[in-house]
Parts: sequence; structure tokens; C-alpha cells
Amino acid sequence: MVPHAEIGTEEIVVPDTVEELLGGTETKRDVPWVVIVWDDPINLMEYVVHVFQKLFGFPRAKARKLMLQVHNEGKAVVANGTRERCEVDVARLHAHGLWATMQHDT
Amino acid sequence: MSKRRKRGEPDDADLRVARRGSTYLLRLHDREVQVLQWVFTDLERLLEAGAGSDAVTQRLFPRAYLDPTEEKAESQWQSTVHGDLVETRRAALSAVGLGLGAATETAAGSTGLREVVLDEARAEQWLGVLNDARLAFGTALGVTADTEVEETEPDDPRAEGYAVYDWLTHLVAALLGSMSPPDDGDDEV
Repeated sequence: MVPHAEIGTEEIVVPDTVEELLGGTETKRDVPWVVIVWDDPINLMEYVVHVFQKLFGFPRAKARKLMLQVHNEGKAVVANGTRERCEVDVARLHAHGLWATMQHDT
Repeated sequence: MSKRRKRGEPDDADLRVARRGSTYLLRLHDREVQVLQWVFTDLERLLEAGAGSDAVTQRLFPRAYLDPTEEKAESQWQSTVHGDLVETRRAALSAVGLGLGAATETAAGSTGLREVVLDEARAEQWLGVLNDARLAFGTALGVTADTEVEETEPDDPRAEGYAVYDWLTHLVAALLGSMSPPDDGDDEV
């Protein structure tokens, strides 16, 4: 800690990012995870749009764009964040019948 | 993903679900109620079986991690969420089954026609259960992106399964078509 008398004389370094603020490689290592939804032959396109809107609050246009990316390219990243956050999103997607997985954002 | 038929084609899918104020009226023939009850019983049995290695169970309860080096995280995740995922599905199935059992005969004089009244939350629940049923049937039938359900020959042993699957597809499409999108903001893009 900074001794009482010196408060105000120390130069305060403001961290640029939350990761820097929290420090430690643990936090940095754990941030870049992505949730991927894969194409499947059964779910209706309109159903997938509905689920994207419901779970992530996406505007319809964005939900549709993501759905088409899944359909045309076979997969799409629909969310990212910490491992914990992504695990929750994967479970929510599974609960709605979408085929979702998560992985490091490489 | 699977495309449904375009609206306007000669199909009564759009007539199955009618919107009345903030509720939905799902209309089913007696025979359809029976088929749904049979479908739901099948799904219930599947959910009771819990974690299995068969294709249908794996489709309803996929892995979270594809990376084999994340096996520990995968089993931790499974132990945290799998029970909840099963329970949520069973609870929804049970609620939908009760609603189906309580379907009342329409007073409109059309014989053998029943209707189920759904609020928004119930409609979501029906949508989820019907979609689960499609996933289970479709996976069991080996549906692929190239599958043309309409082209199944009547003597194909899977014809009946395909017919049920196809009918479930229309039901889901009809329900989706009548439901308000969770956000119908910038639709005109």
C-alpha cells in the first residue's frame, strides 16, 4: 500500500483494459472462448432465427444473418466470452435443440 | 438446416394455429391428438433413459467441447448441466402433454376437432417440445440435408415415421409463423 502521507504524490497508472486491471495470465488465458452453432439437417431455419432472437436478444436481421451463415458455411460464432459464460450459452442452446459447442478463439 | 414450404402453397399448416389476442389457438383433429400423445410417450421414454450413446440421445444432449484435451471440462460441464437439461425437457413435455389431454372440442360444429389455447410462454414450451420431437424422430430416421420426405415410397418401412416427422415439421412451422418474433424490430433488411 501507499503510505498515507504520499497519497497525491504518486503517479496513478490507469490500466488500459479489464484484463490488465485484473492482471495475471489466468484471466487473460480464460477470456477468448467462442460459442459455435453448427448446421444440422433437422432444425428449421425459421426456428433457429427464433432461438437466436430469444436467447441473445439479437435484432431479427442479425439473427437471420447468423442463421444463414450457419446454413451456408456450416457453422457460425454466436457468442464469446469467458469459459464460464460460454458454458452457460452452450447449455441454453442445447436446451433449445441447437447443436452448439465451444472452443478457444484461436 | 431445413427449409419449410413457402406460405401460400396448398397446405393447411397456416390454419392449424390461429392468433386470438395475446393467445394462440392450436387446432388438432382427434387423430392428430392421438399421434401427438404417441410421439410424446416416445419422447418421454427417451428422456427417462437419460444419458445414452445412441444417436438420438447424443443429438438432444450434445457435447460442449469437441477438443479431446478438454475431457475434464466436458465431464464437469456434463455433471453440472445434464440433469437440469433432462429435467427441463421432461417438465416441458409433461406440461405440454397435460395441455394436450385437456384439449377441448371446438363448439364450431366441426366434428373431431379439438383446440388448445396457449399463451406466449406455453407456445414457447410447445415449440420446444415439438422441436425436440422432430430432432428425435429425424435423427432416428437418419434425416440428412438431402432427405426429401415427400418422396418416400409408401412401402418404405420408414414411411410412417417420415409421415409423422413431416407432419411435426408443418406443426412447428405453423406455430412459428403465428408467433411474434422475440424482437421484430428491423425486419426490413
